Amino acid sequence: MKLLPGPKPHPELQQFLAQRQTRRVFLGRAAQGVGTLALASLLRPSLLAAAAQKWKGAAYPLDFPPRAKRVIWLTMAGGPSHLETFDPKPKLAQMDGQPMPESFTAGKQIAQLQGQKLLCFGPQYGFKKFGRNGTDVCELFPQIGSIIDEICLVRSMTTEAINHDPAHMFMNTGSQIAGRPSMGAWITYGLGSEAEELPGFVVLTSLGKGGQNQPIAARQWAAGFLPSRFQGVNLRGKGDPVLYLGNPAGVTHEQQKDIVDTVNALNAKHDTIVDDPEISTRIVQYEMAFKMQTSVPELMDIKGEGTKTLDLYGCQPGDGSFASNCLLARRLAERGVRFIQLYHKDWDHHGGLKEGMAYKAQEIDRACMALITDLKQRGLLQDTLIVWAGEFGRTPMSQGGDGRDHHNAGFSIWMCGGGVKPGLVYGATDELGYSAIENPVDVHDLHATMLRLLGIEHTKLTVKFQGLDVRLTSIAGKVIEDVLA
Amino acid sequence: MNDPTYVEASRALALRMLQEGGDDATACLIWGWREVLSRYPTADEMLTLRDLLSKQLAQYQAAPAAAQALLKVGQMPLPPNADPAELAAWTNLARVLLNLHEAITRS
Repeated sequence: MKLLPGPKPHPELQQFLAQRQTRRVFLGRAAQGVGTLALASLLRPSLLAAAAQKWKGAAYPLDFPPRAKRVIWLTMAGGPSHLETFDPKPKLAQMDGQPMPESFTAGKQIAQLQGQKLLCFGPQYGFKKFGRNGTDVCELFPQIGSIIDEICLVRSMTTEAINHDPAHMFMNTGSQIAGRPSMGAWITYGLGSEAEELPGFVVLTSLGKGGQNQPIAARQWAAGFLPSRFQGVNLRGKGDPVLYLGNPAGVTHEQQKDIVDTVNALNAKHDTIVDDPEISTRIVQYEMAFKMQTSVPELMDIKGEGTKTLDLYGCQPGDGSFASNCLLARRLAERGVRFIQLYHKDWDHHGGLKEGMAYKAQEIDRACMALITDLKQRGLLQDTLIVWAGEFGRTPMSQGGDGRDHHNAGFSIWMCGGGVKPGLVYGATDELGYSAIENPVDVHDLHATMLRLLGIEHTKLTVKFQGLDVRLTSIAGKVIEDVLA
Repeated sequence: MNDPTYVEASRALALRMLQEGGDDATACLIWGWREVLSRYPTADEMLTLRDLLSKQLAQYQAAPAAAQALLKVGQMPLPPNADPAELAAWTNLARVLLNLHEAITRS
């Protein structure tokens, strides 16, 4: 057994310590105006850690009274067809198999159908009327139909991008080029988070029965040029939600706390010398990771929800389904998480559209209804904004006789809860479902509207980057006043 | 920090600290710190390390089964003469070293 050191430094250290360059570092910090903090934290490193701990948000005081406190964004990855979900097109059915009139497509961006003969492809399912206003919804989605009066349906969405990754990037960051902060990072930066034990921006992914497992890159929820503490944290829906979340065998919770505290104390001491902002990020993240060792298993344990709730969503504990993730989204909302983003994959129906849509409907129809119903029952819907959106829609033209290609000129999304007008259908596409012709909405408009609902004027939440005052809405975006309740 | 590979690497580092670091714990701590960070620890840093080490050592001396459990993570065999409580405590100390910002980042 090695003899433990006494409180006095080892002789070998004495000379080195005498030569330490604290004077230079201290003066350097003082010149930057942080001398006082540096002095205080040289004496007590925990001060620095505490200063970094709670982010109060950069958007306060808010520009508008907030109508929503949090966002649940349901990303339907792959690009859902608006023509088999929320946008009825009887004329397209009549023209099934006929050439798509050039007047619709001339000069428009086309993905994989470039240079091919463009033929109309009629809607593969019928539509039914739902709700007070008799809103047409595809017959595959009767559960969403049953609560259509809660929903604000936008049938005139557009986007600039026409391939998956840049389209996701555009929808998440307002730029097709990777590197900008994701909207969850912007909003957590702007508003902070009420969750003490969980990250402010949480991402959950699920995969459908169709089996197309297109990857979703983690940079979709990156913080970009914002500090990395605002990045989304992806929890796995199946198995361990976070790899190596548990302590190693033989290490108690108390011991682990001492170990994490020691890492943080040493990092804080080091920060007083090198003044690296990523150190405070790391300290916050180690603290958060330690809290998550307890909070995440508690979050993910939905066994205690009771059969009534599980039946409402139609999920089983641990099944990793979209429905389970919707239930987890509600639990995250209850715990004060600011931005919750669910990705449900498998909507990229270049072929096999008819069977594929039936799978998708089974997977999301009840779950979406359950999420809205459950939030409403618990009084959370009024200040939770739900957005259901793919990265784009799909062509009215056939691809290979049984599918649809990527399409960005017009598609459908919906919003619900937190300050949006329920029961509204906003905008419209042309008679064949090609272009948004009435009240077109673009991605910047959607972002601007979301920020308005959260109480933020989108032109004011900016961060200086490469000489520009960068914002989520780039140099565009107008709030869609008509959808505000 | 909890990844078995990291825990195993921490045990390997702990063993080297004890075997190659010198005669007393101070020398071993300094050796390990220099090995990972290429600089000497400050007196303050030494005190922080010492506090953790003495606490973990006492805890593992009182819980030999826990020490054995930690030493079973990974595949690297244990030397026959290892004191389980001591090696477990030093393993956790090495986990700290390998997770320092300065160790992970070029700073």
